[in-house]
Amino acid sequence: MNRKNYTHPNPNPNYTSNNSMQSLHFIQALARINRAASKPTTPSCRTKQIRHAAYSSMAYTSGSRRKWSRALLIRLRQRQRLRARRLLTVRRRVRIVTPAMSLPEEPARAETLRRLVPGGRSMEYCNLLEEAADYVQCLRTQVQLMQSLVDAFSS
Amino acid sequence: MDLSESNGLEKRNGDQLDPQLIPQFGGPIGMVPGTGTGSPFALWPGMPNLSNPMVESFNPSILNQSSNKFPFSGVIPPGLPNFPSEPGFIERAARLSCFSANGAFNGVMSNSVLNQTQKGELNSMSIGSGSSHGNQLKNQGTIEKNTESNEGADDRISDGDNANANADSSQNDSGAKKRKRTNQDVAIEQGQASMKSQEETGKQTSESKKEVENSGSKNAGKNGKDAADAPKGDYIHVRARRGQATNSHSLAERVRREKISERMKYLQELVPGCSKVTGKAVMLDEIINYVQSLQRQVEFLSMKLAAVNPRLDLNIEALLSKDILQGRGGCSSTVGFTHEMFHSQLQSQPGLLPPGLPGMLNPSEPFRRAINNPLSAMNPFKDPNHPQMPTSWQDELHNVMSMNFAPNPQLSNQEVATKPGEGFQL
Repeated sequence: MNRKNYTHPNPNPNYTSNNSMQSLHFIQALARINRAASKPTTPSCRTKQIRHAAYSSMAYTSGSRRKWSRALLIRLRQRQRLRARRLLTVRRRVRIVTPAMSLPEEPARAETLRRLVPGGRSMEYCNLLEEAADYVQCLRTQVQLMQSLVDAFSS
Repeated sequence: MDLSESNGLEKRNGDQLDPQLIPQFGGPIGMVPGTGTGSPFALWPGMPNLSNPMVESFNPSILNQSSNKFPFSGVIPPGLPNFPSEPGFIERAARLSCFSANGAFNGVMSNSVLNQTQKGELNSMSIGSGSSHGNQLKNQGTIEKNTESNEGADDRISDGDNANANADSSQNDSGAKKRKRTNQDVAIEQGQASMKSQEETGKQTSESKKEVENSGSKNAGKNGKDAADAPKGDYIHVRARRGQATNSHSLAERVRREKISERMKYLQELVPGCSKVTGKAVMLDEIINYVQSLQRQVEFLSMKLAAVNPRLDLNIEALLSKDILQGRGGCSSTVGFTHEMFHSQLQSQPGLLPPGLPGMLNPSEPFRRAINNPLSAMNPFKDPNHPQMPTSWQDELHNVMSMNFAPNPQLSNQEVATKPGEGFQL
């Protein structure tokens, strides 16, 4: 295979095929979960793993240019680290998130949206909307992908 | 600047009559001698655009004050109604008031100072915070009688206060002090220059404005036309709305609001059922609901996948290797292999998966032998070449999606049969 010779015009993985990259990441994550789960696990644990895989594949696909994806990845990694560290010492570092200054004209619903979009707490309202749009797109793709997988596997 | 002109007048009159009069006259209006006397000239033509209540409150104070104490004041009140009728002057003053908002970007020091003073003057007219005026008065050593009338004027002025008050007041202070220095130099010279009819003084205030902006030279009459050309290039950006809307804060605010509405529109397109809704609050509600429902769907589907998955270990790997094979085939440009074969497969099997996998094996068998370690080598997070892999996988996925629920993201969860497929074993 001459894959080394092939250079893509744009090294950015988000270049053409966000959907396909996302699905690829997700399926690979699923495969990794399945391989790792040789020992029997509880379904709730598997659910959590798969959910994490879904979110992290989303975030990986979106890359680091989006704040929501960065926040999501940071959160997932911290959770992993916590899980690993919990065996040794339970010691939590308090994360300081500077809340965005809420402007008077900003609707009260924006707080809810902030909670829903990862990393939205520290965003300015204008950025929040932008990130929310991107997040919604990615989530929709993810849901479609998972739905198609479920359909395919269970048919 | 106009202040210099009027300051000159004031100076001359003050020499004749009473030195006390200078600060007194300056007191009620702008609190700085230059500012106070100059402001009616500069602002009066521009003011009707602002529709500020201060305009009404402004006039009587001048009139009262001047009629009480100032002999020179007899010149002003009849002159004031004449200003708006002079179209050229209105035009020029409007330009200059806009130009002054732009003045911070000018490189020349004297220009920027004067523009700032002009801006400060504008703002002090519309804003007039009492404390800063008090400071300025103390600086000039004239606190005595006019403070009451000052505060009266301030109260009236602060009724017309707007959001820019705090931002500009500091600039106002410094501008006023600078103004004091620069104006008194030029004002003495100009005081002897002209005493004419009222329209002429009106013209000359604007002319002297530009003159001081240019170099502060003595001949007032000639420089006016030259200076009038200079600011043309600069005020254009700010001209759109004059008055308070031209300062940098409200400009930035406007840009921000435009951005927000644009993104709102984008979100509106994105969220189904949101296009009919008007009103930002309702739209945000829709968006929030949609995001929540999507997140819940992810949760639910991951539950479903977890329930389905344990028996599908092999299948996922097979799927993956298939993807990778397809991707590799695509990127290694084995023409005739990937797309045609794959599409024929897809067409032959609408359900794609269970029959698809055996079908897959036939064309991909040689490649499987060639790669043979697909999963470890193909980790996309470390592989720099992974962008080109999914060329055909995209087609496949797209096909799957369009087959299942492409136009409609709403899930049909009830349709999903929970029994896992038996045809997956490879």
